Amino acid sequence: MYPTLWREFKQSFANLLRMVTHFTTPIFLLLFFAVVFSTNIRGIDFQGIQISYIQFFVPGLIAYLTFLLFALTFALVRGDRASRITAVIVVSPTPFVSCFAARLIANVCTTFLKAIVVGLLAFFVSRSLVPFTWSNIFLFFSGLILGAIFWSSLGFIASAFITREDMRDIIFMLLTMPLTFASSMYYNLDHAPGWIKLIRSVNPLTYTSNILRQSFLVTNPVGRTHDLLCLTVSTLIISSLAIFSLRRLSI
Amino acid sequence: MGLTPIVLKFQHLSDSFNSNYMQENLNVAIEVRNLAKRFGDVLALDNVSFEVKRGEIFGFLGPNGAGKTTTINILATLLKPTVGSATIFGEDILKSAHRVRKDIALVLQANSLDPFLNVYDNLYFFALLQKMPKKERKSRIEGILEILDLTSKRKASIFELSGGLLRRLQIARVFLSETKLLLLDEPTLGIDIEAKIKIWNLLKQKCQTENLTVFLATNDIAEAESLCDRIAFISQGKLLAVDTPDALKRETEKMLLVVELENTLTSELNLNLPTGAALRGADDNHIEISLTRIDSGLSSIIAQINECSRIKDIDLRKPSIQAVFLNLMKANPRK
Repeated sequence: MYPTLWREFKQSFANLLRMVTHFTTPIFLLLFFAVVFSTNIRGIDFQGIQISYIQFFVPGLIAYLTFLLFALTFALVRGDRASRITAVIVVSPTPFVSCFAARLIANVCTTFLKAIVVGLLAFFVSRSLVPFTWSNIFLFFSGLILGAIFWSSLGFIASAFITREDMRDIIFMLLTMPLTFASSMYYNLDHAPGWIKLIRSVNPLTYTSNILRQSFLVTNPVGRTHDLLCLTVSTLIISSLAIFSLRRLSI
Repeated sequence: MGLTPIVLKFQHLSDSFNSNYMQENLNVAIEVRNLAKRFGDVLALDNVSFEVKRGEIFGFLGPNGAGKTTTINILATLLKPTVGSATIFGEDILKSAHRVRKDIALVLQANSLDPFLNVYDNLYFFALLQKMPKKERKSRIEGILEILDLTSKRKASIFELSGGLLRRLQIARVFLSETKLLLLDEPTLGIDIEAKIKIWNLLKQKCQTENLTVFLATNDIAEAESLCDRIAFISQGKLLAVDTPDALKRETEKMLLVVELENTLTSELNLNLPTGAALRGADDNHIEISLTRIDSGLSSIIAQINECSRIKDIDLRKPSIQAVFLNLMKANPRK
């Protein structure tokens, strides 16, 4: 896997412009979106606990960073196919599946770095500390890693099956819009209409943001286990499908 | 007489057959049998069969859309054939794709370089993919950059390179590898003649010293003629001819004697041509005669023409692969 991993890290970290691009979106979202909203929304309810909007938003933003990996992975895998790098890797002694593993590792690492930057910035903005427990740390890493694997895998699957550019736009819009807005990433959906709650309940982004939010608070262990289990199962299913779809990408 | 001598004789024959068969197999790099590929209604390859020997530079010549890239993609295990089979160094491309991939390096028609990596890193990535030992990587990359005049561009972004330099970089990449077979799809397209000759010489050298086999798909006739040990012509997915350049020229095209006259012919041309020579065409001050060999009474023909009119110029055109190609295309017009 070393060749493909080397390439992923070279692509991600050797280029200053790409590094800047990585961190611009979360920083802008935090500074403009969260800070502006926190002046209007004083407190927000999460699983029976009143928290500040920044406290609510920051884990949602980190979940959103994992969600962005869907589009990023799709674009990079499509780019590799279009530039025929995929063919060069396939016709080499390096197993093609290593591309998948390397991208997942790179995605997890970059998202982790972004989460650290967002977390530190959020601390300077809100001056609120996160309760440190081992269970919270476990939950934070689980949410981050599972979320990154889930959305990256979905990006792989999409790139294997969406071959037309015009189809790509409509599928992306139909998929990303409901997933973004019918999740509890940016706001509480407890009082939303039933059909939105239905989408929220099957939306993996809800579970990712819930797990990350729980890792920033002291919450009910039953809720934590349920969300973690849902995300783990869906990640296992999607990543298995992604490995299966590699055959389509390689030939 | 007992059975022993017969059994021994049979065993000897069997051993000799097996040994010949094995030897023949060991000499074959690529074996393609009845290969066909259909894309919807389009038959891109139609019952194609050929063999490429080890250490050979095999040219696959044909016009655009003839099926050259499809064949390369099938041999590179990137595409599955609809019908037929192919083996590379005895390994089936479908059943043992992973083993086949270890033996081949590929230059694709499209630019297959990583746009996020610079020139050096693209080569380094390829060296890693090929599992090149760490100690050799740097020196071999520097060496190939030097040979292909890319040293000054080693830190350049892919976007800064011209089309010709991009092709050179792709070729540099396959020269890095120590694979036994190169599959090249129009590798020197857009490269200047000086660099082309350098690449051709390098290919020839590698074939001689490392017993490298090259499958070269091209529509550059000069490249095929100067480089290839054997050439296959393909058009509309069908293989039209396979042989050495000399044999192809001998079989399909004769030598052509073109005589330019100083004055217009006043009387009807009545030549007594020797066997193997034939009048191909004549107008007011040009005569074209095809010859099978140079000694087909050349001097007698010239003397006869000189009697009719004063000769201004004589041109003896040798058969060329271009003429073979055009003849084959004329005989098999595209639908």
